[in-house]
Amino acid sequence: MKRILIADDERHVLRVLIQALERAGYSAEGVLTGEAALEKIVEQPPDVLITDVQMPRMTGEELCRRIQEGMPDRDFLIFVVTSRTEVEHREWSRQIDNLRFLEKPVSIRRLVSSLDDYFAGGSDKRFTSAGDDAA
Amino acid sequence: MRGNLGIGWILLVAGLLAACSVIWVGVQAQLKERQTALRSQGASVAEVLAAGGWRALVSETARAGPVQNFVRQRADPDMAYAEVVDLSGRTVVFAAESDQLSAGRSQAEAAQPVRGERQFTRAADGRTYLEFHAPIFNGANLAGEVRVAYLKPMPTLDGAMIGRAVILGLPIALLILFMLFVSHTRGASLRKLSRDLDGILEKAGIEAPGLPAASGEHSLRPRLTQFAGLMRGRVEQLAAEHSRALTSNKLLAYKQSRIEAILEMLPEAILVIDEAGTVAYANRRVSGMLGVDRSTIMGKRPRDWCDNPNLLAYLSRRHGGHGQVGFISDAIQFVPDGKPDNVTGAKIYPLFSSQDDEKVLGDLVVVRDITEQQIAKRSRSEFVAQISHELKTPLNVLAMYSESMLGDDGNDEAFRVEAMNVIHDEVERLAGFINAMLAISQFELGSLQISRTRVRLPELLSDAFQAVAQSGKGRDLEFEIDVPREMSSLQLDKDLLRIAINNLLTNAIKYNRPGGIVKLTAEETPDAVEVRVSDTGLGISEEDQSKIFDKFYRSDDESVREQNGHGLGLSLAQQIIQLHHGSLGVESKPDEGSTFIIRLEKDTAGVRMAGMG
Repeated sequence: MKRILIADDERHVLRVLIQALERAGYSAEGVLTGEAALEKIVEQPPDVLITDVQMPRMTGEELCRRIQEGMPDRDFLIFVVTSRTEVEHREWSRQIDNLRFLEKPVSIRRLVSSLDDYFAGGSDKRFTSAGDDAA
Repeated sequence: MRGNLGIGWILLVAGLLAACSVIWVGVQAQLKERQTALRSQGASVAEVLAAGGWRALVSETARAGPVQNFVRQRADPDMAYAEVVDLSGRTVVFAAESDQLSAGRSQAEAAQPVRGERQFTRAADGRTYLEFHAPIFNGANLAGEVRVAYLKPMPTLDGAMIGRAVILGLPIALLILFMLFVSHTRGASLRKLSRDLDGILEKAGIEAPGLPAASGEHSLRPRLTQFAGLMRGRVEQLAAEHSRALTSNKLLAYKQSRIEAILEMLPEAILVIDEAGTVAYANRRVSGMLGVDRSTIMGKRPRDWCDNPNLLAYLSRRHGGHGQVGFISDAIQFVPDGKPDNVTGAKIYPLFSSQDDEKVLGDLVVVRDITEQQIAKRSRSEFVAQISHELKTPLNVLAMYSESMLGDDGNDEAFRVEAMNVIHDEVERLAGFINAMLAISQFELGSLQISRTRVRLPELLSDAFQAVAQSGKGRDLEFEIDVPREMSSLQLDKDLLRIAINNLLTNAIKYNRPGGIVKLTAEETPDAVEVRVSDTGLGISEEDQSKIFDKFYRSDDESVREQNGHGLGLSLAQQIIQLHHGSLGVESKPDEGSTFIIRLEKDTAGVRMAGMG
């Protein structure tokens, strides 16, 4: 079963996402902070990381950089959930491999469908550049 | 010329007259001399002949007598005849060179006993003769008279005469010529002078009304006078113009220095780059902004002194030598050397001539420090980010829960209940945020008007408290209120104050602990009114205490973050209190609790005592 780690400082978000993903057949776990996420990733890398951008102390951006620095060979997908659409707020993401953006409000259906596609394509199917999730 | 000739003619005429008179005098002198000579000669001839006696003179051979002999011998061309007459004047003996001369004699009648002379004019030739007579005596008696007639000497023009005339006349003529020459040359130089004057006037551009051209000294004087007058007039004119020009220059210099002062005082660095691409002007701020001394960059192209590659590229865009003249509307930014925390902005404007819209005099480059602007921009950007986050986050939750509800999860009763509760909370959260944002925006724009009415504080506090206590019922908290029943009425904006109190109470509930206390108290002193909201909750660290009133600020503390909040509540409350000229303060210890204190001074305009209209 594919493992999905969710990092978001909103409990409700964690709650509803975990519910939906588990219903869709994935194993989902949630953490409230970036530090907690990093700990978990180091312990055991997930198959997908879904992270909010705005979190206290360690933002989603910071989390991604740490991962890129510390684990340049990692191959799991990262979804970044953001409320900003402007291009300049995504510049940083070019330096991170295998990263996609999700815009709030997130559609669970689309998320699940993206995940299914991703996993269906095999583990060698990677998203090499950041972009919006496919419909 | 005419004037000179006038004098010349006079001289000439006078000279001629002089010469003539001299010659006349000479001629007359000569005549006189000859006459005198003739007289003596004639008289003596007559006497000599008469001395021969009557008989000798009238002898029968009188034809070859002494008289005839005399005439023959003498052969004087001027002698007309010689004759002897008797007492009655009858000719006895006559002798003449030619027969012509025999006609016409003196016709004198009787012989005179004394010598003498007679003058007569002969009818035949109209000439004048002098006749000398001498008495002839026969013994002691007068017998007759000898008469000898000569032509009277008249002026004749012979060599000697001419010679004399020349000798007499030449010096005079020479003198005259000399004087003519002098006069002429003087005249010439006067004419030249007159022409020169005209020339000067023409060069000076002065119109000289028509005097006839100077022709001599007498006409030169008015000319000179006119000239002097015109020149003086011109000089005065020039002096006046000069003086005006000086004043004008002073005025221009003053205006220029004023403009320069303005340019120097501007907080921006100003450069003017002329059409040749070199620096035509730089104010003194250039050294601070661009790190170059303005004296070293004047007249130089940017590539000679501009260190900053961004700025150089920007400045060269206009004069890159590609001949393009475009209107550059964008500006650039760069970090100035040595000031990594600052941002400098530069913009080029075309310098249009103020007289002619089409003409471009060069480029005006304005360089300014935009650090603050950038900070503000960033801050606005962050502000928008915050708002965006605060709006989209609850929206996100709403979306996901509602979507789940539409799916299979919707069939689960427990999930449905949970979903409804969450949706309800999030909607409230969203609404609360939007209201807070609107209120804050109005504060910022200054468009929020507080409307003061007489407020009975105990009532207001009590109402707020009741409402909050009601909504906080589900939680494990104790609610206490300690407000005097009677307090001075105050002039306050009821609604706004309600919001402020509400925010404080809501926080007291939110950031509390299970089994904690929420307390509302009020106190009145002679000078002020204090309202306190305290809790026994999480408390606020010292570091955070200085920031909690900032918009959107929420502590990073986990337990704080566990609670939903947009970070505007305290900011809004503080603004409201400040609008009433009061203050909002905090006392807190982490893990113990917090107390927020509203202080409203009674003396300030915001708070009026009841009865003080």
